Amino acid sequence: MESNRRIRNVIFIMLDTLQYNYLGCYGNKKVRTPNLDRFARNAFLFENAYSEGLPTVPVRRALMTGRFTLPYGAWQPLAAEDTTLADILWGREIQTALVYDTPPMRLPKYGYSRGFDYVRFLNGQELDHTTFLNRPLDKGWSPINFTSPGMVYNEHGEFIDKDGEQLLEEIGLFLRQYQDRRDDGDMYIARVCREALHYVTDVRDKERPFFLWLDSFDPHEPWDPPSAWLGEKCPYDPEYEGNPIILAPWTPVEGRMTDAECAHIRALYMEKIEYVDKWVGKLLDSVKKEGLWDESMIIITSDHGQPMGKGEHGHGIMRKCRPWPYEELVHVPLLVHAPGLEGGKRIPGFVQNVDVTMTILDALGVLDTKNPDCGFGFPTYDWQDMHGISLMPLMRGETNTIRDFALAGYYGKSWSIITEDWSYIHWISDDAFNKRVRDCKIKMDEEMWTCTAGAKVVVPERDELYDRRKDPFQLNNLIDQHKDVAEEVFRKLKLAIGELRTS
Amino acid sequence: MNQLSDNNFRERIADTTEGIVIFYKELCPHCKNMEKVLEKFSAAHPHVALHAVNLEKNPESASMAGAERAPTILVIHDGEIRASRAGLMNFREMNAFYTENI
Repeated sequence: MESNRRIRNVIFIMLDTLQYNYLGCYGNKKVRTPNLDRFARNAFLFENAYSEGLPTVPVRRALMTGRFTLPYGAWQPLAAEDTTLADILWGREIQTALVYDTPPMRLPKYGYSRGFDYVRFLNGQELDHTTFLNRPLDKGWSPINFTSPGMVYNEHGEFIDKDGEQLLEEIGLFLRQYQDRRDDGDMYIARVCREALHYVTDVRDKERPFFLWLDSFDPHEPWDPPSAWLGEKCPYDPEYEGNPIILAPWTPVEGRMTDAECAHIRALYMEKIEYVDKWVGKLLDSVKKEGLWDESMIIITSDHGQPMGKGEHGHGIMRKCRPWPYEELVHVPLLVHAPGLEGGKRIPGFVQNVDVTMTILDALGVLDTKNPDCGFGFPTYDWQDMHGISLMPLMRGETNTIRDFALAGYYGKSWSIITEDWSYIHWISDDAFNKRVRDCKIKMDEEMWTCTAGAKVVVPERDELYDRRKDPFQLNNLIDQHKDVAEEVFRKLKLAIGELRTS
Repeated sequence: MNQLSDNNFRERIADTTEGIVIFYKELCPHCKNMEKVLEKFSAAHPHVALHAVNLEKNPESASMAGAERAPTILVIHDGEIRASRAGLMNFREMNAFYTENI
């Protein structure tokens, strides 16, 4: 416990939709992420971190409460009975701050800023871009020049569908903002990092420890790195002749977009990640200059990846990670700088996002959460046990494993279990199985949690089983060849989800 | 947990002032999870009797209670079945289910 005492503060950095395998430290050879790579070289890199219930909102709920959401709920407000990190830290010496531009956390009545001492939200990202609806758009800017006309219009020049029409409206809302951008310092990531630094340098009480949650919606789409709005070639795809594609419809790729267009979107995403890396790097440098490095745990992670094309790029889907739990969507980066512990280590054991919550509490010395209020008559009403496990013992080298497998999925749509040897996907909703993107219905009923007399565990025919060592991106379904394995893994999945459902 | 069977189900329920019954199946993962919840519930409510019935071996009791699926939980008060629910609950939901039905 001696090493814990060195940690006074925690800075938690959430970078939305940052796919782990686009970072140099996770093996990418193309994308330039020198700052995150340097951070990783001196920190703990978790090779097998998985988000459990996707997408954006349930991930925040899991991280704030330390509880799995997968058996309980989907995209929904923070509940009155949820006990969050901010609730637990209230009334203690530790001051709390949320600096964010992630609109899903701020949707009406969603309440994810609850309990933080200091809250600063920045406008403009998706869902909140309508803030700029009435801003005049310069005549030189036209939405169709920022996507592929072939995704929007048919050969008669008519909209292919309502998605195409909405796409142009949405792009227009972003252009109303981009027209005032002059350099990368005007990007969302730059603004939110500057605001976080403002908190660190000017706002907080420097006599007291702090917990800062920085939630950046970048590198979430639109794929809007500087080349897109400066009218330059994307450095990751300089031969591409078409418009920059800053947004595309959320649809199956086949028949709607070409392989070159998908590759261009991925190139813009890479360029955007390069700037996310740059501005997070600047923030980390400033934290060092403030003299906080040796007393602050810094955690950098993401909520999920994004489908951007065929095969391992997105299983044939473009944009939005729902409703299926494939590797490119559920495997997330997780980097932790822990003062007092020698970093530079890669940890292969499975960890889940709920474990981050416990690690934060552990680092701040408040892990004893049996009765997690501050102790002066302000109870955390309706307290429920957390599911997470602190990562500190893993980082101290006291153990190599805290979990035998990881779980992932979408509430009422799909469940997945990831073991060292296999990954298994169980489709709950017919729509999820059929890969319907927009109107995939949630299915939850008691049949999931019960069985009838005489019934055996039957592996559904449409489920999927993959050899994780040979096929990590789940392209070759082996369920018919390994029925015995499928049954065993499926049983394990049902038991694990049921255990969470009852705890 | 008291194991009940078709031989004594009716009498034992009639004799129970406050109680819970779980209809379970052997090797059913959901039942195992629900039994853990009942253990926690029992610790919080030691005066509430806890009964268990093997669903597959006791079809008459199951039929009497309308229990078609495992796990099914019954709330017993003054010798009568007051409520029945199939599926899983967590501790808080189990508490609410019990207190709302006695």
